[in-house]
Amino acid sequence: MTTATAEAPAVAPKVLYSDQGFWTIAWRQFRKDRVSVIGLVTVALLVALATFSPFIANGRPYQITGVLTNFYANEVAAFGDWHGKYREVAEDLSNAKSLSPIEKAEREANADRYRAGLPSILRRMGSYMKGEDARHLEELTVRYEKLLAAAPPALDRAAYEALGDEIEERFGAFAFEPAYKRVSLPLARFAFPANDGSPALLKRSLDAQEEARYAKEDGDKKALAAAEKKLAALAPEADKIARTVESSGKHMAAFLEPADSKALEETIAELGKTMRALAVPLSDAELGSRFNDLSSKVDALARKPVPPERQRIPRTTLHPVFDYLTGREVGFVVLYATVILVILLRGPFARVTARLPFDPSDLGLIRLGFIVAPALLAAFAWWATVPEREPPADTFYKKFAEDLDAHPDAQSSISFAPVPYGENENLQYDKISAPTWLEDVGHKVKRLREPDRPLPQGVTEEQLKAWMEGDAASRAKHDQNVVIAPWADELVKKRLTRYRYHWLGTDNNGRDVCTRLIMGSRISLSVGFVSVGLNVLIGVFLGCLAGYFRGWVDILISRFTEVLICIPSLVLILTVIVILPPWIPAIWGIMVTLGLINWTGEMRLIRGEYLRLINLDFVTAGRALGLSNARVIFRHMLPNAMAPALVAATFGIAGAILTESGLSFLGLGIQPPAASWGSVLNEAFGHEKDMWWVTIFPGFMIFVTITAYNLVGEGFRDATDPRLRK
Amino acid sequence: MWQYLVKRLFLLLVTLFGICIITFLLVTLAPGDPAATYMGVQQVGSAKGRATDTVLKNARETLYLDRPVILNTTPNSRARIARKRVKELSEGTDYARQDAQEAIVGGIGTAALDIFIDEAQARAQQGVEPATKLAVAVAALETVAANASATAVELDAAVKTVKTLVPGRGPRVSGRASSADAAKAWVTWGKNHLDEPFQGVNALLDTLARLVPPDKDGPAAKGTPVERAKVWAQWWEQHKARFDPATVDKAVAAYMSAPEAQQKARLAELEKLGAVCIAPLMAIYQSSTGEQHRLAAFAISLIAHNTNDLTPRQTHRDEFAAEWADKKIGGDKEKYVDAQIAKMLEDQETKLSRWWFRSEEEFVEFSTVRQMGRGFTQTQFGNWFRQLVKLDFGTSLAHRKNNLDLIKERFPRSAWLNFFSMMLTYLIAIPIGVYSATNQRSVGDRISTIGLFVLYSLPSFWVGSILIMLLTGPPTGVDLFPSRGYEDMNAASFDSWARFKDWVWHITLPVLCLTYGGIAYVSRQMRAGMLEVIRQDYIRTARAKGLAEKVVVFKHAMRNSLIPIITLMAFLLPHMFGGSVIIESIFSIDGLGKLLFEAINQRDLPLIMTEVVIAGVLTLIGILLADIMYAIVDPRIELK
Repeated sequence: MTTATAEAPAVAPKVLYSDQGFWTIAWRQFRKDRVSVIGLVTVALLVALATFSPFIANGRPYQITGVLTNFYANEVAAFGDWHGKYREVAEDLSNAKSLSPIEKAEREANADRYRAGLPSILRRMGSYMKGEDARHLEELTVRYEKLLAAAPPALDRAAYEALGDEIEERFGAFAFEPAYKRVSLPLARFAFPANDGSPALLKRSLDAQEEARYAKEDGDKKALAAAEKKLAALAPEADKIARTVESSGKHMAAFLEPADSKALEETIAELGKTMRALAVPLSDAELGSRFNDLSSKVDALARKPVPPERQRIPRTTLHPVFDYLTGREVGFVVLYATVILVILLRGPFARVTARLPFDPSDLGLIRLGFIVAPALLAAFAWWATVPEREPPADTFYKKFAEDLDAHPDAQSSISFAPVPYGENENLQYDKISAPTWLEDVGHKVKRLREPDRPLPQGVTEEQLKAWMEGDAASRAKHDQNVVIAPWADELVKKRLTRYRYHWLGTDNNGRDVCTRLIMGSRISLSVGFVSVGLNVLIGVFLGCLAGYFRGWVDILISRFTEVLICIPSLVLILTVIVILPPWIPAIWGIMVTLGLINWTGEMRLIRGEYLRLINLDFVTAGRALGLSNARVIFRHMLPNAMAPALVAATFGIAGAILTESGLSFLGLGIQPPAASWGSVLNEAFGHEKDMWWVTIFPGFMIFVTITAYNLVGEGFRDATDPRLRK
Repeated sequence: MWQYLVKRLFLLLVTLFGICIITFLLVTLAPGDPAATYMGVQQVGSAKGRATDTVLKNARETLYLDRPVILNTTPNSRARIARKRVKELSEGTDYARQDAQEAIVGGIGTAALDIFIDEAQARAQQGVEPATKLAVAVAALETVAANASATAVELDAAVKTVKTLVPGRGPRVSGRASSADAAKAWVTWGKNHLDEPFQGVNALLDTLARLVPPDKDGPAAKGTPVERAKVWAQWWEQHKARFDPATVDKAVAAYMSAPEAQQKARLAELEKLGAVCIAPLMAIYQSSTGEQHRLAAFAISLIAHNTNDLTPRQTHRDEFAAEWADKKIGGDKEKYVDAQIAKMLEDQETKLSRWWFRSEEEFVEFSTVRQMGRGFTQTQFGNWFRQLVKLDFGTSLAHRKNNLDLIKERFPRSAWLNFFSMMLTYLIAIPIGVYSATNQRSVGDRISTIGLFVLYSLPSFWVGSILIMLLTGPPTGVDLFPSRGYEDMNAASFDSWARFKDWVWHITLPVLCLTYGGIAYVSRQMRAGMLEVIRQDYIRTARAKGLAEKVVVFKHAMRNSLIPIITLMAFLLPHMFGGSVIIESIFSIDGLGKLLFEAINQRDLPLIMTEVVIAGVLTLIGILLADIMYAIVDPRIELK
């Protein structure tokens, strides 16, 4: 700024009005008004907030280092899920005749997604592993990729399934939790009734055993034969389950301490025998209780922690924020960076620019392309290389972080964004909390005491409150009287961690208001840009036609405009929102609607300018030269007519943001889970007194934004109006 | 000037028509079934009972939803309707048949007797062949079914032969039943339904018998359908003349001119003729007034089975008198009763005319020109627009009340709120604007400019929420004002001063919210206008003449800079009507804005359309007034 103002007087007299365009002069004028510049900087900062929101507020950490068995398990589950889904889709596509064209297209799109995503999931799984395991998985991945290379109908399904099973069998076991389930699930299948209500295998065989025993006692040969027949029918199933249990038990044993491992192997062997014996007629009557004992023993062993040296998953580092960025987000970040770069090149680095072959200060369409193209390219490249997938819930990382806080580990670490919450992270136990820095002791104690995590035995809420309220002296007194102080500090530290610190409080769903405001800024700001962009397009086009051709074209367009002005805008907006085709996402709906409705002002301004310009000599000259109407309208007249429309558009952005917030405030605009400032404010509609923080902060954001846009608009108007030039 | 006004008024009408079309299209295109709203049926489709269907069908007819939206490419006429009804009788389910029969008896009736009898004969002849075939097939099936050694294939084939002859009909046979069981069921059903191909004809003949029963000179037809149709044809040959338009006209004329004593007999005569009399009666009804008018309506109501007979009876008077006593309505009893009777008659006239607009097609054969015209009038839009032109705004679906009454009821609240806020706006904004323009760049100017700029950017819903938070009671504020409502719930029982105080107390916050933005806007306009004027030469001249600063400012400068502000006043009217949706919602004030908001949420189409059209008209008038006022205040502007 200082360099620019210092330079201005030296340069201005020489070049002004000679080789500089209208906009350059307007910009010079604009820059003179400090207040408008502050407005412009505020807008830029707000847009930065929206653009970089994933890095400012995110429930996922920037970086996480540790033994991430759970994360690995998540990848294994994702692999299993997509593997199965792709198999289904491929099956559907192999008999494509039974599909409608829409279904087929949908399946094909899905198939492409899975084909692109599956190998990368495997690669990510591989990134958790070391040495021999990693090499083995890489080998399998290459084979898997080869199978996927063929189009879905030509998929070698047998090989595909075998390979998938192999991967799951071998590498699924590494995630300890799934391995545990692999033992307990068949056991449960054996011991508990099925989902459809049919009795468990265990019960059926025990019943048959009993029948056989009674029949033998009674000497009823026929009944005995029937019972034996029943048991024989059960035998293959029991054998199958027993084998599954044995093989998964072997996997599991590999993860336990040697002693436990041995015990497990023995127990499993015993268990398998028991299960098979259950299907043999007239065996031991105690079999049922033996099964129960053994299976609970297996269960207990399976729950033991894995000793570090047995873990196959080494310490890893992940960057979830970056992993789950979407192409769109990357594109906007690049766009913002480019714009800042261009501004820097024009301002502080103007001397560098002077040597460039083109003049970046002139914002022609082609130059605009130089700014937009890198963003589009980056977005596309990101979209193509980083396949989108379902991210794990935000609480997933929080759990790790809280464990880490409780048991600090020199080698593990986690670092979160400044506001560590997801847009829709419902912290039910923290709902309706005031901003944490304003919270009173009572509320803090209330938050310490959650329904699922009660206070330690023998401590009352009052004691805790007294302790928290008290000064050093009274704390000391408590120390003497009550056994509370030693752990109270720890409790407060543990339960009111930074992961429960809310700068701007939470709403009645336990969502962090600050996060929602930051994420909501994306919608609130883009509503302004998109809808006003549409307004300008429509308004300018119709205004040009009406002003240039006059006559009946003018009458038609002007009448139509008047009709639109006369219909209450709420009715227009709401009906257009309702009748928009369903393929337009809800978030875009409101932007498009506002864009389709609010163009009347632009149209009238442009029309007026054209009516003025059409009598000027340069237009007559252009027409006399035989230029086409389109050329005269868009190349010659439009640049001279745009200024008032663009000033109006700047105010229009403020108006659109206000309208969107108003609609969302009434609950008619953006629908949850997406947030905009208006919809956050809506959470407090009718509860203003219970949650003042949900009322104050979103409204303040709207207010700041609108003020900034209005300031920019004022400055812009003054700068483009020659009469007001200072 | 006058020429300009006429031109503007003409354009106003064009725009108004545009507003009507756009509103109508927008509201109609939105998904959802207004008939369901009207009947309070929550989910159409889940309860697809016949009752729901019929109810919805009737509601659709009442709301004119069974007609095309904008253009009716095949408008109905008498013959088309008659053929359509016959088709409904001969095809479709038993329920549809019953409905069609009721529709004939209650509507088109004897007006299309010739068509019905022709159709009966033709369809009876057509039925003969399939009936024979059916009898043969059923007999064949019976033999096959009786044969114990018949295979499933044979049985199925025989059943299929019967099935193809009676498409869509037949006994209920479970999919799991064996072929033999199915065949047995089909034999039993087939024996009972040998006349299945004659179902339609029978229904038609039964309908004919209901239209002209034997005790009203109808033939007593018996025997097979073919024979019965023949009897009817012979009867028609003999009695054709009686249903001839000329004869009917004569009968109608005789009734209209009959002395009181004979009227009953003449009326019975007309009743015997049936629906064929309705068209001539309606012609008389529309062209006459007084007693003739009433007599025609009386006869029509008797024949068409409706209650709009325009004849007040003693029972009505008693009812209204009882109402007068019950509801403790003050004033003269007789006057009240007379007024109510007049209202009832007016209501009946409206109903009758609506009924005729809808049902004329059943009784009249239209000329080509009229038929083409009906392509535009017999549509949803045509119906709505026709009522609109008659200033009949229809009934709200959700409130079940006349829209205009509903609006009248809510209007004062929105109007007062907005009127006050506008008045306050101008009272405060103009002095501020003048002050800051005359003291440009003073401290006061800077403060007011910045302050107004901030006010201008404050979202009203935020300000409303904050005011509620701070001024309506603990825990976050002081208890100074109520947080909701236009006045106290028991305001009606207050004395007038207490009521006024309560009212002011209630509307302070909403008016505040509605006002501050306007103040900012108007005073900025005022300041800009004033600055513009002050720079002009004539102000310099005035100062040079040595006039006092007061005179220069208030007499010379302010008057001229008020011009744009005065034109803004023209928007007071639409503004007062439109209300403010957000502020009224925040403060729970049942004004027009909230009414519109609720109507949109409930998909109450007539109410939405009414509000939108009235708002549109007022805006148009506002624009026109603004232009005229502009010309009146500023002599430099000429209206061309």
